[in-house]
Amino acid sequence: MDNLTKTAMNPSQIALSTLAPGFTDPVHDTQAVFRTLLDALSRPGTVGVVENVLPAAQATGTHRSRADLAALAALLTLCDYSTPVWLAQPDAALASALRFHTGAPLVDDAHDAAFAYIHDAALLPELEHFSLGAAETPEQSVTLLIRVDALSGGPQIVLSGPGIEHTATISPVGLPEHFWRERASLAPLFPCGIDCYLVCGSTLIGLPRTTQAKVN
Amino acid sequence: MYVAVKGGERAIEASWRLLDKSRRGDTRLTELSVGQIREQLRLSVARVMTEGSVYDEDLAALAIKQAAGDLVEAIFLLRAYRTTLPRFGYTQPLDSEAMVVERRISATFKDLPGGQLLGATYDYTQRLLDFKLMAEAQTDGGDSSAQVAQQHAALQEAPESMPRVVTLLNKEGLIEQETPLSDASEPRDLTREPLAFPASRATRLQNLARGDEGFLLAMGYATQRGYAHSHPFAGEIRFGSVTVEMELDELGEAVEIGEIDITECQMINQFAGSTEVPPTFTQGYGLAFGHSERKAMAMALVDRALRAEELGETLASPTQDIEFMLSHSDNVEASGFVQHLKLPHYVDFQAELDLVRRLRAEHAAQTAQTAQTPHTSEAAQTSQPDTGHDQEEQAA
Amino acid sequence: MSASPASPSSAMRRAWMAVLAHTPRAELEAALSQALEGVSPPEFDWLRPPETGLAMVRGRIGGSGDAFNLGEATVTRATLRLRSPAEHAPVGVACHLGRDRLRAELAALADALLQLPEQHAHLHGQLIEPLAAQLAAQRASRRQEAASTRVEFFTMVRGD
Repeated sequence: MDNLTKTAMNPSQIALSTLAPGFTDPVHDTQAVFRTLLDALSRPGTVGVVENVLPAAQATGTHRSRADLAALAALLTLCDYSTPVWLAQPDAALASALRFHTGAPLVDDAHDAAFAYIHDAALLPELEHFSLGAAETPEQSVTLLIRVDALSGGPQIVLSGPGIEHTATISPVGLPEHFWRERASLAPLFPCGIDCYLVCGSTLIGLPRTTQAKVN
Repeated sequence: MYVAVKGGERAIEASWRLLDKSRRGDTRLTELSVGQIREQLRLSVARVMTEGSVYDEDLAALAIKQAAGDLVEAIFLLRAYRTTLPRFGYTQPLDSEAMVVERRISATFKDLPGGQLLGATYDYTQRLLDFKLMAEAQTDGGDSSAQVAQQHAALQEAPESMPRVVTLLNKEGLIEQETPLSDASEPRDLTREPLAFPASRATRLQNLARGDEGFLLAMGYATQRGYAHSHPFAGEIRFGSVTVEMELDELGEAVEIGEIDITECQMINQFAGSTEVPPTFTQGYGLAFGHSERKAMAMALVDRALRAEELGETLASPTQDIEFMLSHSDNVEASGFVQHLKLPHYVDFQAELDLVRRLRAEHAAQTAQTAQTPHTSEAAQTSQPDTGHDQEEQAA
Repeated sequence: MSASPASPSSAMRRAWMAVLAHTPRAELEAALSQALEGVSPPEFDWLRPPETGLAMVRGRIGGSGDAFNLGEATVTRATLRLRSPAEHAPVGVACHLGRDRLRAELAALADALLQLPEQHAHLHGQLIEPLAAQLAAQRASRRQEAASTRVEFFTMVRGD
């Protein structure tokens, strides 16, 4: 990942006027966000909440990027100059924020991404376009952050597997149906695969590659 | 297997207090300040920065103070500290040809554009202990030697430019030139990815730059004594300051962020050539933080030796073995493994003890059996050790 | 950055940023307060408050070839945005070797102020030019000192 120097965005294109401050208390804020992300991935189906961080992003009217807070906080926490990011929908403010605060390179090719943010879930590309990792380095796969319209109210999905005692049911609104089909077809490739977060506002649900999902 | 040892907390705390006391030494003497170390032990600071792999004179001086002068321990402290700092990026490659030179010499040519500048060096001192330095601390009150230097300076003109010595040889195409490849990939970074083989020259140079000066010195010495067919000449050694530039995301271009002192050495070696390539001179390269000539020179000698394979030479000695050399150059790694032997290995050793006892018993039984056969002498028959009793006693 | 008659070019900006990066904190503090002539500096917001980190310093193989990673150096950086003018408020950036956060704050502030067309000429003349002259003098004196150790090889000619 360190050898990736070809970036989609020319650094000189950082839109300085869109920049807002990052974490007020970088050490504790990122620890708190990381804890939330870790818990969500460890207990798939539970809802994690990102709170008390990034006041500038939460203030109404000064929301410079379209990205939901949970996604922005996750990216600012996890990304650095060695984690290429792919944005499914153009968002100059988000790209500038990532570039400025984390140094993360923005890439054109989804396959090169360590993290990808999909703001419009309906336009989620086929999962095969992303990196699944390799046998010796399964961790070098993508982590997807997919924004959905709501975390509940949609079709019921029954989850089971590590981190879930029996089953857990989630019902996100706005995910295309091919997502669950493609995701299931990746299961035999374990340890390779894709980990996902479904984000909505300041909340999120974690879906590690080890979770089985049955569409009702 | 390491045994968890409890109950040592109080002893450890007492050990810390004793360490502080020992580090401080005689309290009737003024305590060393970090500034004093930075200014008056600058060559120690240079080594700690180079091998600790962090250019920060104050941090290196602090590490030296804390480690009571144990430089490898200080290097360890600096390496540990750097893990707490975020990485902002990579600088533009240094332009050593644009160096503000304080010292510049060549053993290959007498007359150089820009001349030979001796600078501040121990090379021309007579290595006699100077007992005047034992006098009590003096603060500056007008140093006569500085005045003499100023007078001389008035007579000299500062050199305009200092082009490289190797370019003089290049006019006849006599020396291989290092030119950047237009499609060169980013150099591997050993602070981000572990060492793997085969190792490119860039990786090797990073490893050697961080490597222990003593190890490189010994290996460089070996190459001169026949462990590699080197025949090196010091083409150029220069010490001085270079500006550092880095690209800033906000600007989208590189700006100067300060300057650092570096020492650079280019060694010139003979190369017999091959069927395709005529005989030419080849280079070895050394680069270090601060004033570190011995290090830069040794690094250049080792760099050349490690190029043997790439240059199609016969690999005849360990100094040319890339895996051997690069795996043992880091003194933090080496010190870690060597000194880890101090950790409790009680269970391991118990197993060893039992094994040795068992083998001894077998050995004794074997000896006894041999003694009982008809061919043995009567004297051997009378001495039959009672191995059964011995084992019981030891196990108790 | 566009080079309009009122705003300084990017080459000029790089030049004054270089001067700021080489100036020690004490000199910078004194020079800045003098250049501002007792007026307190304008208000600003931090986009990135001063933080210390590392930059990996690169050398070139053989001095002229491909890059290699030599070792890291401590670096401190800061980015701020002036509160006024409300539109196109200048963003001041500082990035320099070392761990001096206050120096980064002063340099970022100076960088922002120097981008204000109405302040530029005055501040450049009062702050940057004297500091640049000081740096040039220091460099010249170092060169002179080194030159005092230049070897003059006198060839002895035996004449008969």
